[in-house]
Amino acid sequence: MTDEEIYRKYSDDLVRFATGLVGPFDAPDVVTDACLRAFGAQSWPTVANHRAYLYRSVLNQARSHHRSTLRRRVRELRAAAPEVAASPEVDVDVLAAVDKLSVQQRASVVLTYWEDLSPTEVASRLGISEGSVKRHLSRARSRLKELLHD
Amino acid sequence: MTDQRMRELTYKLIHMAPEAPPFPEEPLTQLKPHPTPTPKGPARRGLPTWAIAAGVAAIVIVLAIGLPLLFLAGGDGVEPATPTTTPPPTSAPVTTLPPTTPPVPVDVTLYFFADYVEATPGDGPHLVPVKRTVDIVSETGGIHDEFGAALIALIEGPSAADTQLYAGISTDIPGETELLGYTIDNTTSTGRAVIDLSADFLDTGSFAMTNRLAQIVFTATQFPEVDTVEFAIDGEPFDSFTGEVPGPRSRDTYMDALPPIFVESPLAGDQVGSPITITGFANTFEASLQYRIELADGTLLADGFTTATCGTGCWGTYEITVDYALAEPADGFVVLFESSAQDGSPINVVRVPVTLEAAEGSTEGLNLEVSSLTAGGAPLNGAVVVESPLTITGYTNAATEVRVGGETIGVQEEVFEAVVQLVPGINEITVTAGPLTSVYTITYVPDGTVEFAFLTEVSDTEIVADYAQWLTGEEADQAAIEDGEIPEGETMPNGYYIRNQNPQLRTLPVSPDVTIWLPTPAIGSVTMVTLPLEQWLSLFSEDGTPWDVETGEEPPVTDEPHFGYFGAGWVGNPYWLTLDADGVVIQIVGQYRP
Repeated sequence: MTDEEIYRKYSDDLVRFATGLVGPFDAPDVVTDACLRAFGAQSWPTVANHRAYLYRSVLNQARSHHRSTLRRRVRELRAAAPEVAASPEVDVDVLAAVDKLSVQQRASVVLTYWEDLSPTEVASRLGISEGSVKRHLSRARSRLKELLHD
Repeated sequence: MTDQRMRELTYKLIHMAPEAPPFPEEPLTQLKPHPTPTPKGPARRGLPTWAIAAGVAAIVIVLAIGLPLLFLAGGDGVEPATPTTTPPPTSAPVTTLPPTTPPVPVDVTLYFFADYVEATPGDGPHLVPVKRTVDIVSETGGIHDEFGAALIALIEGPSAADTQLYAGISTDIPGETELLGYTIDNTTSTGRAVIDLSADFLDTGSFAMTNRLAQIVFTATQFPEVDTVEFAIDGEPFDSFTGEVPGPRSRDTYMDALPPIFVESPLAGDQVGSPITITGFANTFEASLQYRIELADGTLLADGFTTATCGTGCWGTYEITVDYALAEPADGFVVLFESSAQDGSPINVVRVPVTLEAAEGSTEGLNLEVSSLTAGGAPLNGAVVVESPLTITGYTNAATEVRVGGETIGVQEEVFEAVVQLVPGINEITVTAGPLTSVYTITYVPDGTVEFAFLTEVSDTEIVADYAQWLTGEEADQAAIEDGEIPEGETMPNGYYIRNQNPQLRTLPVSPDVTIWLPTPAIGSVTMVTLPLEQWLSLFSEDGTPWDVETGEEPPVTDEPHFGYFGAGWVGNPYWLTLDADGVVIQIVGQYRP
C-alpha cells in the first residue's frame, strides 16, 4: 500500500479520534501533521501495524497541541452565541467538558466508548499500562459527572 | 456517570468531526511550536520577567541553530510560529524545501515509585529509574527537546513494559497534569529549570506531594544542564506545595526517596556487555556494598564487593567495573546489596533486570581446582569410581558460588564441597566459577570394588597383588599400637599405618584399557599423572617383579624414569586397585607416602 492509500483508508477514523482529543476545529491539522511526521519517520517503512502507529502519532501530536486552544475556541463560540452554538454540528457544552479532561483521558474515553476497545486494547493502542487506562477512565468519568452535574 | 451516558457524550463529541483533510502530498515545512515558552506566543501566560529573560535566551539559541529552517518558514523567522493554526506557506517554492525532520528516538530516564528493594525491613516504595525511548522532533536539537519529552513521558506514567520489569510500579504525579512549558537557565554554574505545569499537578487525593516532586526533580536533573528545579503552576511561579519546604529543589532534597542502594546505571531492560560498569548512590553501613551478576535462573557469573565514597548515614557514590563470561546472550540481573551488620545476611537488595551479552571475560589471577576424594587421591578428570554419589572438593578464588553439575554450591573461604550423583558409565561434570569452567569426565562402575595392595608381579595382562589395609588418623594409631609398632599413647608420625596381616597373593586380570595414576613431585607438592601401561611396566624389573634393594636388585642409575614417581616400581610401594564387577583391574593408582 502506498502512503496515500494508507491515508485514505484511515484518515476518517483518525480525524474522529483527533476530534475527541483536540476538538473538531484543530483535528484536521493534527491529523495532517501527525501523518506527515509518521510518513517521514525513518521507522515508517518497517511499521507492521499502520493503524496503531498512526493512532499513536495522532495522540503524540495532540499532546503537543496546546491545551489552551480548545479553551479559546470554546470561549469564542460562547461569545458568538447563539447563532454558532445553535449549530447542530457543534455542542459547546460537550466541548467545554472535554476541555477539562487531559489528553490521555480523552484518548482513553474515545477508544473505549467510540471504538469499543477493551482496556487491554486501549492500553496497547496508547502504549500505556492497563492500570493507567482504567485510572484515566475513572477520573474522566468522575470529572465529567462533576462538570455536567449528572 | 454511567457507561451509557459516557457513550452518549463521546458520540456527541465524535459527531462534530469534520471531513478528513486531503492527503498531504508535499511535506510542509511549517515550524512546530517549540516546547520552550516563547515571549510572544499564545502559550505564554504571564511568566515573571526572569523567566522571560531565560525564554529570550533560549530563543536566541533556537534562532542560532534553527536559522535555515526559520528562513524557509515563510520569512517570519523573528516571530516564533504560533501553534498549528499557521497556514502552510503555499507560495514558497516547494522544490527547495528541506524534508521534514523525522522524529529522532532518544533514551531518557524516568523516575517512578516501586517497592523493589528486597529484604529491607519495614520500608515503603522507593524511586526507581526506568528507561524510555522518546521521539524527539528536533528542529533544533539539544536539551530542550529531550527535556520536554522526558517530562511528558514521566507524566504519562509507567508503561506496560515498566510493569513487567518492576511489579507494582506507579507514579504519584496526577495523570491529568500537563506540561505547559519550561525554561532552562544554565548561564550560571547552577543550571536552573523552571517547569510550568497545569494545576492538576496539585490534585490531592492519596498521592504524596513529596513523591511527585521527587519524580520530577530526579527526571529533570538527569540532564547535566539542570541542577535545581523550580515550579510554575498555570504560568504563575509556585512554591507553596502542601507540606513542602520552599526553595529550589535538587536531588539532595529528595535523597530520602531513594533506597539505601540506588543503581543509576545500568537501567532495567538495558543490554550490557562485559565489563559492566555499575554506578549509583549508596548509604550503607560503613559504605560497604556487594554485587552479583547472575542469570535469570540464579546462576552466578561474577560477584564482589566495593565501598561507596561515604556511608553509615551519609550518601556516597560508587562505581563498579565487573567482568563476566557467558557463551550465549541471556537475561539476567545486576544485583546490589549489603550484608546485615547483625548476621551477614543480604539486606537492601536491588535487582536490576538486564540482558547480558555474550562475553569471554577476563580470567587473569583466577583459579579453579577440583579434586576428588577417591582412593589414592586420583584426579577427578578421567577417574574411575565405584560409588555414587561422589563427593568432590575444590578451591576457587573466582567466585563465592560455583555451579557443579547443575547445582549451585556456596564457596566458603575459597573452598567448596559438592556431592554429585553419577550414572553408570561415563559422566561429564561441569564446574563453573565466575568466568572459569572445567569439565571432568568420570567413569562410574556401579558394582566395582577398590582394593589397597602391594604388587609382587606385573605384566600387561595380569598383576599379582597382596591386599593390605591403609589406615589413617586415630584408626592408624590404634592399629599400630595393637600391632606393637608404636608404644601406647603415641601416634604414627605421618598419620597413616599400613596393616598387612594376610599374606595371600591374588592374581588379577588387567584390562587393556586400564588407567594408571602415579604421584609425581611438583614444586612444593605432589601431583598425580597418568601414564600408559607400557611405561608403568617399564618401571619394574625385566621379569615384572619390583626392584628390591635388600636382594641387590636395582635399576641402572642412568635409568631416569625410575626416579620420577617416588619409587613406583620398587618393592613396598602400595597401590589402589579398582576392579570391575568381573574382578578385572580397570584403574591403578599409586599411593603417595611422605
